[in-house]
Amino acid sequence: MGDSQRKEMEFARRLRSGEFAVALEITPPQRSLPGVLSQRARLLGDHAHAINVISRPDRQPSLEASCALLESGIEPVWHLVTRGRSRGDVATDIVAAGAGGVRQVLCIRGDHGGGDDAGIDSPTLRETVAMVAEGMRGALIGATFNQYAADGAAALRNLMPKLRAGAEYAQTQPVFELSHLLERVEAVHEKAPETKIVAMAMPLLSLQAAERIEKRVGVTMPAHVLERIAAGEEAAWELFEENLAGLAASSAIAGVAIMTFEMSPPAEMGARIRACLDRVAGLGRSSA
Amino acid sequence: MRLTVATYNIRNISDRYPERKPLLGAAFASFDADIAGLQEVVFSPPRQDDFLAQQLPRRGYRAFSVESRPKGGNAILCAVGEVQAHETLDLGERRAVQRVLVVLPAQTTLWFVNTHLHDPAAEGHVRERQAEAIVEWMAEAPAADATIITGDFNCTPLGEAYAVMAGAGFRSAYLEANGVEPVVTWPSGIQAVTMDTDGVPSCFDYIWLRGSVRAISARVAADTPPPDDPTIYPSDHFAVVTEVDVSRGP
Repeated sequence: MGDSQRKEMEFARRLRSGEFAVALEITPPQRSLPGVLSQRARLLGDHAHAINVISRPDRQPSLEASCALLESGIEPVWHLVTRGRSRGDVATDIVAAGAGGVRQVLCIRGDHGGGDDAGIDSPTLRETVAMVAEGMRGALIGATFNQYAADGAAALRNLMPKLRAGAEYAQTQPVFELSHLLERVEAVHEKAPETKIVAMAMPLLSLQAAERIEKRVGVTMPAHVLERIAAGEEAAWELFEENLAGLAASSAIAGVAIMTFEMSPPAEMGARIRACLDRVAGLGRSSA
Repeated sequence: MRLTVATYNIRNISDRYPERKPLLGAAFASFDADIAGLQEVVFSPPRQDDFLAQQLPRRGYRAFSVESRPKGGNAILCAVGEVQAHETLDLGERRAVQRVLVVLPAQTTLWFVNTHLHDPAAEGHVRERQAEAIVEWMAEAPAADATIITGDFNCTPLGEAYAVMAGAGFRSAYLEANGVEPVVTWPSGIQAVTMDTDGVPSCFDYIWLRGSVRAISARVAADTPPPDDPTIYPSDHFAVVTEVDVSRGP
């Protein structure tokens, strides 16, 4: 079957049709452990329309895990990382992903720990998006957008070539304050109105978790957000749900990527997130 | 079923061992543990796991050890149920984790796991990766009614490895029973030329619970020197001892 005839995956279909889309972002296990991978991917059950499989150097490769999920009937978003990888490496992976049935790709530069670029002819992200668009026709392609960049114009300049090369959606960093995100998204939509924005949302249930995320993302959370988290788990869940409701209600946001601070969150956390999604689902939206 | 569980880093044969050996034996006997996870055990003759098991001969302890990773020195002494499997996982940095599957009366099944994580205080990211590996290893294990993980995690309650365990749904037995973690489980206060000084006094030793098991009580043990010498303790760590109730899962 040709690429263009393949059935569209649900996350892609929703983004393209204007239905609110939900992805769950997971870390694959340190080695191939199908039970662990499956357990993490099934945290939100049918509430997740795709599983974002992050790429980390000490983990099962995102592509390998994505293919394993596909085999078990779960639709993944492969995180294609370019740092430390040659054009040939990336091209080979794109061929393998296409052959494995992967149809959703998020193109990312990757952490500094992911590899050394010295002496490696890595493709730029614009080039990578173009390579995916060419090699995996019809696939949904995403790029990242850092709404916390000190220079908003520079962040936009960084995103635009990737959109022009074929990226249909932009995934943000974790959102802690909706108004700030919407300002930055408005600027994106002024230049590229068709761009789908997938906002990352995280339940942060302790100050310790919040501090770690601040460090990882390189941002300082607003004091009022930290105060809510410090007030206890219930207050933190309320904050998460408010955040989610705001994102779901905004016409500028096409979907969310939900990430947990915990790598192997217990089932109860999944149930809690699903309940939040149930309550905010359909806010300001029409369902297909 | 009620079980007494202990975790204890016995500091191998360093730090004035000939003097503290009788204290160590007496301390271990005082736990009267049904099952214990030990760290820094020396396995060359005379083996320290044998020495401790001999302190309570009526218990008939069976010893399960990880002898290929001498830096961790992990051993499990089990005096209950039928042990159906003993498995190990290499955690890197010459560390390992071990587990035994114990079938208790009424066919209640228990994974009992024991480890000793990477030690340099500044390398929390390594311990985080090791704790994640343990969580993943247990997630792949055949289901049991309950899981108990003991160990010297070399991390405080604010450390990365602690967050990994708690985030995966493991509950600290001491915290569950007392509402707070111990203030200190290392250093004990032993004074010795060879004593370990890398780190700030804190809680490093834990008994983690998941599944159909709950903590009834928990205490820090082996935490007093003999009356005639305040500079010697059974080990450079205190032990954590808990009484738990294990039952058949739903």
